[in-house]
Amino acid sequence: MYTIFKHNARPLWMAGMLVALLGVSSCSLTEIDQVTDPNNASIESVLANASQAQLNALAVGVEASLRLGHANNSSYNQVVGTLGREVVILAQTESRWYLELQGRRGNNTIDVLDDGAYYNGQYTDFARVGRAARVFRASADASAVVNAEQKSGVAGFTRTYEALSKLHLLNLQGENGIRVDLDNIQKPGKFVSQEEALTNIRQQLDQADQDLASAGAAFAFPLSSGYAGFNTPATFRRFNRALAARVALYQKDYAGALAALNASFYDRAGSLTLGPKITFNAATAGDVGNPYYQVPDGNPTNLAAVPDNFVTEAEAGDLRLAKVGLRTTPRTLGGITGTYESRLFTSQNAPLDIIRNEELILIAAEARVGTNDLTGALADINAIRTRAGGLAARTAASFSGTTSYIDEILRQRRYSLFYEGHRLVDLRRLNRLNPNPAPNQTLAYTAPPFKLFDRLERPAAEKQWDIANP
Amino acid sequence: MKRTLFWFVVLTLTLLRQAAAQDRSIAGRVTDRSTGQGLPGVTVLVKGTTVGASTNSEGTYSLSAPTSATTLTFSSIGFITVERAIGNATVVDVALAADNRQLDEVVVTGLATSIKRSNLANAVTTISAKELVGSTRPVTVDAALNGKVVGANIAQTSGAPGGGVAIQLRGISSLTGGTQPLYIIDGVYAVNAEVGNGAAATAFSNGASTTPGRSTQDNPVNRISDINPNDIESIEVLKGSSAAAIYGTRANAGVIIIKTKRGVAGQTRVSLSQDLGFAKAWRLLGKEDFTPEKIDLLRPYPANADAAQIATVDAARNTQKQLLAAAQANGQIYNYEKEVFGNTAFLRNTSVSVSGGTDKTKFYVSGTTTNEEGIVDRTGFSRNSIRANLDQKIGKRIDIGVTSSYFNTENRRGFTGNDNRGVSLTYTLPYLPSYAQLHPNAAGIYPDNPYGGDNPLAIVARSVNEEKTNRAVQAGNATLRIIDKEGSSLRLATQGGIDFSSSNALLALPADLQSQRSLANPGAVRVVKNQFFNSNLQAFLVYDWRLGENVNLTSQIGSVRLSLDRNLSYSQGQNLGPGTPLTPNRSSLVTQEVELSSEQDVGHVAQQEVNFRDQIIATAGIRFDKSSRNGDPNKYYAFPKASLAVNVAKFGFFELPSVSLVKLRAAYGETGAPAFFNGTFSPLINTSTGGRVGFLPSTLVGNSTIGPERATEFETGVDLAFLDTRLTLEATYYNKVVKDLVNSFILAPSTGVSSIRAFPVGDLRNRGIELSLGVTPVRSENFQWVSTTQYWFNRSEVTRIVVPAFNTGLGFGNGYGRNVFKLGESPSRWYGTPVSATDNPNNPSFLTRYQDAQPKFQMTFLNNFTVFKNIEVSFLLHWRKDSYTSNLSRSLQDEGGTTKDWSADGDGDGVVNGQQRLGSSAREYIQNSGYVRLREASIYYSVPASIRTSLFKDYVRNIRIGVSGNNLLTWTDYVGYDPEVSNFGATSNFAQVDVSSFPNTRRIFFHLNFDF
Repeated sequence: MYTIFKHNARPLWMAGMLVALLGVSSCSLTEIDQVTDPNNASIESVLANASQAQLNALAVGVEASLRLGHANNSSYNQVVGTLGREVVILAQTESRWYLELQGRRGNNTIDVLDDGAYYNGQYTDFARVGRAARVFRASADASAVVNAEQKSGVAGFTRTYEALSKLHLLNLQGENGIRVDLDNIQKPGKFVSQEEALTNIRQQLDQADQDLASAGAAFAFPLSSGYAGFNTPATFRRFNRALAARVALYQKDYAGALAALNASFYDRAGSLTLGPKITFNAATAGDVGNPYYQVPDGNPTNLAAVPDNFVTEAEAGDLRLAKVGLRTTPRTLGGITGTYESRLFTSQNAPLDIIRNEELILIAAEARVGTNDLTGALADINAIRTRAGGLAARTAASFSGTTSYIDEILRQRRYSLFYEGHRLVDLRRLNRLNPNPAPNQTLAYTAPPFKLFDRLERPAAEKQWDIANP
Repeated sequence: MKRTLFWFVVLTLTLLRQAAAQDRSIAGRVTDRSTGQGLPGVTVLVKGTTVGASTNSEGTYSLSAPTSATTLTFSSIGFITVERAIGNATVVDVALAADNRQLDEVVVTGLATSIKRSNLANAVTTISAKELVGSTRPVTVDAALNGKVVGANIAQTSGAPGGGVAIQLRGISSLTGGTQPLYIIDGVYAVNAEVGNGAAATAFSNGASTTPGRSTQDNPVNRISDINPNDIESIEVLKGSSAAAIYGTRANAGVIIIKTKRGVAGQTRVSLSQDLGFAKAWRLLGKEDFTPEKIDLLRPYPANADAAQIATVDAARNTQKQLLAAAQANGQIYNYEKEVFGNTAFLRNTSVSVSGGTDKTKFYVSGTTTNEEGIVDRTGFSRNSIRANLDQKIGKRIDIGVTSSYFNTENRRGFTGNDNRGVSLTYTLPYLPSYAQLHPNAAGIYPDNPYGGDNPLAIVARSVNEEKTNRAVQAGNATLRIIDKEGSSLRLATQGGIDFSSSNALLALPADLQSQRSLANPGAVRVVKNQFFNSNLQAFLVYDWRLGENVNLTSQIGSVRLSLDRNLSYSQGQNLGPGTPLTPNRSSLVTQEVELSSEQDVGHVAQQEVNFRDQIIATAGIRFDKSSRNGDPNKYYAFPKASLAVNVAKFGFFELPSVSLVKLRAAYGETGAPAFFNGTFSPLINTSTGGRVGFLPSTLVGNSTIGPERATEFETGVDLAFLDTRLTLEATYYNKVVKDLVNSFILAPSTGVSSIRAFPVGDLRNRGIELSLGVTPVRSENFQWVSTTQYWFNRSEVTRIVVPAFNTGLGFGNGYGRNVFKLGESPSRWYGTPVSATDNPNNPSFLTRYQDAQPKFQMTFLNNFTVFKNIEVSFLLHWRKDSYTSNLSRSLQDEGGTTKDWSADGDGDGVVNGQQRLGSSAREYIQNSGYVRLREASIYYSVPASIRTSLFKDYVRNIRIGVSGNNLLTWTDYVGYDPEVSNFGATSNFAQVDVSSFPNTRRIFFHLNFDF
């Protein structure tokens, strides 16, 4: 009996112990803690009751976001500059830069650009500018730490950036158009035409202008030194109006452009570089260096070379030729020889202009031609010729008709705004994107198998979205 | 508390079944039927109980059995299990016969239980130590599986030392989360992360252009490479959900269960083995030399060129022609590819193991050092590992086991693969003409490479890309036999383990390298730390009982907890001070990144198995899992399973002695994969401008409602064995449907949000056939031939999609081919240029539809010959039929003018091949990467006893010498370095892209093995 009892009792005892043990420990062992993001703050943390510090950080994010499309592997000014034949990116490890983007594959011409290639990468980057702006505005609206006036300031700032976002996308997409209704990320609006898009952008800028008008004397958030002189609602409006002038010009609304210029920082005699800038600082965490800076005569993998015609077609003595340099050793890739290289920026911390007085003067010139104020136009043209180019002023007699004014403005824009993302847009809007857009102005790499494209392909994800959401 | 109550009920019920018993002694000897020698380590069990013993070195055993005991079972790996009635005997002697097909081997099916292979309802592949590394020495465990697992798609994604291997079991299981199988080593959830260190980051090769941190293009190793293949006793591969259901979430991509060697009671055995070998690239791409005509062809005049432009081009042409002439005159035409990749690498592998023990205590201790040079100078792989596995019986009721292992590995992989800086060797060499002069001068200074971003010889000599890993895998298990009776036993099996892996990597490019001098911040160095800590705990109650004489039942319930933590960080310096040491401390621009993650899973399991006389075996089970990776971390998801195996041959209605096994089987099961870590988060990315810190909304938003994706699999098949298992066939059909596949939901990018991180985007079906035919054509005294032929294929198809069609896998755009998740198509099918709205109106972006990356089928042919008992010859042929890879390798050479056939004009149209191909559509790049490969071959010779004893008396028990080879021969139409490679490492859809990968090697070893 004893043996049997022992035999039975021990398992019972052990089982009882185990049950007790597991019962005690199972509570903590079977529970899982909610894991929050250990690496980043969350969007939810700002969308309700954001603190002042959080709003400040969102403002910094909006301002910083504008550099994203420049500092990536398909930098905006390089892609647009290639399509407009201002630069040719002689990339030792990516022949699509100088072949495919210029319409060529091997010895064949291609019909369409790739909707899934790296060179559409800046599309999302510029869309992020709008997203950052919308998140900031929504957070400020839902925050108790800013008053109505300050919220209006946030609205004016963010709407201006939204418009900038759309304008960049439209410049890339041209006649493909863009989406303008983007408030609901899961129900974006349909694509609208280029004209409708410009109208929308202009309206958004105008609304921002009104917001800024009722934004009091100071913003409730900081701006970087890139906005020196433009960092109050009143002065930021001048920046906003400068952008409105650019959009109006694209719309061929010349009177509107002139009206906007009047409210901007347009100054025929003012500093040509006046205007808000994207700042760079390679040495600060979270910031980057100027992506367009290249070491002179260096041998970078991606060399931003400049077609010879930029130099050969320039007027003798044009000071703006300093923007390019003759390489001691030309680089030849795929049959393309890069004799000159861009030296637009002298250091990796050099800022990049968002819009500046030099462009405003050229917008003024073109708008005045459009409103038949040829005298005023000539004054603007000559301001650029003499002050930016160190060239002699032209006389009215040297022009023959408005087309010749546009030819001259186009030439001045070519040299004044070189490699700043304008050439493609200018030629396209003036319907001159062809091998010989104006007298003594040619486009390189246009003879077959090369081919000119006036826009990038709509990204594959956008196409697929519309297929799935008819 | 519900659960504990349930346990209590089960316990109480089982206790009621106790009966009285008394013990009696039985002893005997087990011998090998073919030799008559005693067999050590044979497990002798009283049938229906866990009472037993194992034989000692002479093959003898003794045990005390309950009086009620009627039968003893004798089992040993490699031998057919025998049952003997005891009757009144006190001595039971048995002779065991070798088992080629191992019908009786035991296969793990539950987390705490196992089942005889002959009763298994799934096709589980088991790889023994002998099959794994008995022939040759693939560098890693996963590489050693290649060609041996029917139903698996295995590729060595990099030829760099230390490998990098991707495994796909039964098609595509996941697009995001765990696309690689779950590895369980002795019960430990092993770390198998493939984490890049940044070799392709902006500061280094910039292959993953403008990615400052880590990327898939860093050419990383997967961490299973730390594991020493020589320590492995066996590997079981649970390929599909029906077999892996008990593992619940994380088992969607299958489970690879690794058991390491353990001690065997008896005389202490010492085994010493030494392998020496060498490796050479099995193929180099070759080159074509230059002529003045070719120089002209590569430098055409611009269209409508003016005189100045012509002069510029002429000057460039003349410079090159002069360089060419000078090089030719001085005999300085070089084959740089051969200089870099043509070396012979020395391989060494030394291993010692000691095992033994008593019936109470068993141990296995081993130490191995492996040192493999790479074919590129200053690259290599080394691994040092020690292991101690200990089993101890405490009293009659408690068994404990401890597995302890430590690994120290080092990888030096150099820079290869995609590149945007000129650093990658494989990317620079194709552009390098053979007349270039890149050798260092007398002072050791390397000249600049005018044809690329850097001088590859300088990169070989001066760049640093190395990673050192210290890793400890520890496991412990304890089994408590609460009830231990014939016909009824209840045990508590607990297990716990940790896997801690810590890697330190150093990447450096000195500031005076050519590629660095043109940068704003020349010189880059990065110090990387990667830490992984996995821990798991499980407890199971297993109850074996009987209903009447014919029905054996096994019931089990248990719980599992799993935690995974990782910390990936680096500190990087750019703008380096001259000289050494290479450390971020000596730089002006320091950046850093820390990436933390933490995951926890909890699961509960219940399973019931019913065995009717080994004739009908039915199993049903369910697992409930929750995970912190799900949107709701405390919601349980259920994963059921059920299976049925019918051993027709055992019903007795055809008593043919030649039929050993006729089994019909069917199984259904579900597994899951929780969304990846981060899937629920919508981060604000840190940014700064103007010195202020800022928030930037990420392009990704989280999904707080995401649940696991779920694979449901039905598998059915037939297993046959005839003529004493000399002829076997395993045939399996499976239909695995992955439901609610978790992937990014790609939004319209205009919104500034590219995707919702984790979203149930649709369903995917994988169907396939697996056949395995084993034949022993000859089994005589002096010659034995065993042959195994395997054949399998998988077809994948998207059966439901609720989001816009999206890219799967990784690629370089339409021009080179990409994969799309599209209804009715395989997610690994290639699409590419030309684009035509009229020809391809229904294809994504009107792209042309090309072949599937998945092979049409795969087939392997393994043969072992034993001659005169002491010569063993084996070879393994592997045929992968018509798989397709996006291969950019040749186009780099075409651009550089260096392709072997560049100047030839294949179609006679007056345009040389090298230039014609560059104008091609994606057709040129989507290439057939099928191959036939002699993956392994070996000859071993066991020194006869007479010679052995004359040399070493009786001190040495066995001496074996051999020669073996890995990847000895390959037949393929593929034009890159290797058809298996992937620029992006392991990808979810197994559609590979090859951008000038590290060449794969042919390896030859000489083996010497002593047993004491």
